[in-house]
Amino acid sequence: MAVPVPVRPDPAARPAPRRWRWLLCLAPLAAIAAVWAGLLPATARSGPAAASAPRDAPPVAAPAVADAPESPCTRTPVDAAPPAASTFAEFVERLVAIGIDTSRLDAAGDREGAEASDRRARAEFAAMMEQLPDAECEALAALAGRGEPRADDVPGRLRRQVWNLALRIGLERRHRQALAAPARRPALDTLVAATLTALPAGDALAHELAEGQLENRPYLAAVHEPAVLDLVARSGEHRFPADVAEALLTTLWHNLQANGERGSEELAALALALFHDGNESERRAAGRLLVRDDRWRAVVLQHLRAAKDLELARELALVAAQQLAPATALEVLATAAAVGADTTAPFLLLGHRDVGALRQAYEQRLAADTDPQLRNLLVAGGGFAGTPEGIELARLALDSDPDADVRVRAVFALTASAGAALGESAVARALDDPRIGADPQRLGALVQALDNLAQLGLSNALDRLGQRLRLMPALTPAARADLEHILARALPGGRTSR
Amino acid sequence: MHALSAIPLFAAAALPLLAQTACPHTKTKDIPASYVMGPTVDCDAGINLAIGGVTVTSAQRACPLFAVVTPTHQEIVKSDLATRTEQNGNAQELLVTFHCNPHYLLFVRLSDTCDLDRTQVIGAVPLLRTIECESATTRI
Repeated sequence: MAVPVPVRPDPAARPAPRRWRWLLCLAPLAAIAAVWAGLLPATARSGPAAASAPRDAPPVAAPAVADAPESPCTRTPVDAAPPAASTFAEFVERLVAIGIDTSRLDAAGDREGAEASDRRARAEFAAMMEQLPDAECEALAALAGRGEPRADDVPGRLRRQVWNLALRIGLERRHRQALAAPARRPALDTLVAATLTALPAGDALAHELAEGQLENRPYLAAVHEPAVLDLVARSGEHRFPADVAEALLTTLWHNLQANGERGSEELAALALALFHDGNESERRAAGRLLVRDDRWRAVVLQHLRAAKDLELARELALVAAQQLAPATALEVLATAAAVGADTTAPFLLLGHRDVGALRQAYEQRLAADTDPQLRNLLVAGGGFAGTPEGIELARLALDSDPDADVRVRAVFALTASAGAALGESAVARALDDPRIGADPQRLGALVQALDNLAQLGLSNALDRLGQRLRLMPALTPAARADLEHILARALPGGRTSR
Repeated sequence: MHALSAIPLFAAAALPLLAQTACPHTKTKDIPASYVMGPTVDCDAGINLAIGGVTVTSAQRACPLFAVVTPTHQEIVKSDLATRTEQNGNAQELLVTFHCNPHYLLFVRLSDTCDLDRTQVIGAVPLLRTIECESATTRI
């Protein structure tokens, strides 16, 4: 039975009747089911307008819930309705047309015209969101009901971007309204629940909606916990992308703690259980939570040492490098490196945040002459930060480190970041060190550092270093070929001046 | 990972020298090309880019600040056969930085791009090959 739903006033402006919360959840399901089963009316399947029924058309109940009151996505004009406004599909098509027009003007160099067109698009979009209080609901149904367009289908891609933008703005709108008036939170929760319900329809859709709308955003709440845990369970059975499940669980836990819906003790207890017994998504999400917790970090690090789980170690090192205080992060990074996850990425990340912390850690280990592999990574992280302090760290390593491999790493950093004179002198100094200049393997590695000078256009430095390297007896045929290749790109004909 | 792979590269590379009198019974193991992405910024475009023999792909709206690309290389592991390894080159480990270049004029950001900013060589990884020991078969 169709129940008329007034288009105005804005239903989001008051608490939604409880039954609509669940009906709204069914809307995208209905759309998916209808598309899959080919149940949508021909007019609705025939093109982009399928995203919504025309406002002035007879009410159309979602087929999959035909015996229930229709979803809030199905609007029926009330008796005293104002003059018919545009439908969602009509707005979308106009936005697509404006987008194409703006692209054409921009490509033709008509900046003023493009700006004017862009203003038209903004006004049109604002009008759509103002006039259609359930635009985000229609956008979700459209996204769930239609697959990713081909790369050359420009209107199709624009249309999908409009749908995504409408959903994003709609979620933000409902979130703002919920913050202002908690009684309106159900409107947000329902839309989020509907989005979660749509995710298992396909991996591409799961990535698109989860990454674009839910991950790292404040929308997931306790009411969504069963749905998120269901997705996590599906991922354990390889029926849902594990990375999406993990990110959603991480976001949910973050929000639960931030909103005060779960105490940190309660979450930590759950995470601990999942860390040891959960599936891959659960273990990773739990690890990410626990490594940020001062009380439980040691447990995670102990697990990394015992299990030598390199993938988890790399992932947690990246989390630590981004989110923990530098000194604490270094503890995680050092543990990850010690178990074999000796990737440079987390050190580079931390170097961009706080070179000073890396330098302090390096100096401590240099003074004690311990952990040469960790020193190597610390020099990489600091040396490529692109700051004067980072360059000083690399210079210190080149001048003072007893480990030849750390010195080679310092040369890479200095050739990439320190400018012409310092880069060239760094290579020259390394060549003077017999542990490098007379060692075929290290010398071959050093040759690769010349590429940094080539990329900076330092042809004179390359000319001089190339001449010297060609005469070095430890240069292997393979390293010689690498050298000539680099010189050929940097110097005319690959010829040095002598 | 095999225990022997923990041998520092340059220490392990010295093993062939000993092979004149003793075969180290080692061989190479391929380490597939890989990349690690740094944090991403919101952008209406991600990346799908071939760099150093690796296709680096990000989420569709995530532009990474950087990616570390490690090409295919080899490590040394134990062998049951009378073989040893020798280095026949190096490959570059790359630090690739990106920035989001939004064509903000377009309301619908069709042409947003996550652009490659700079490529730097941050290190070298060994290219190794396995060869037969000349004559000796003694394990060391």
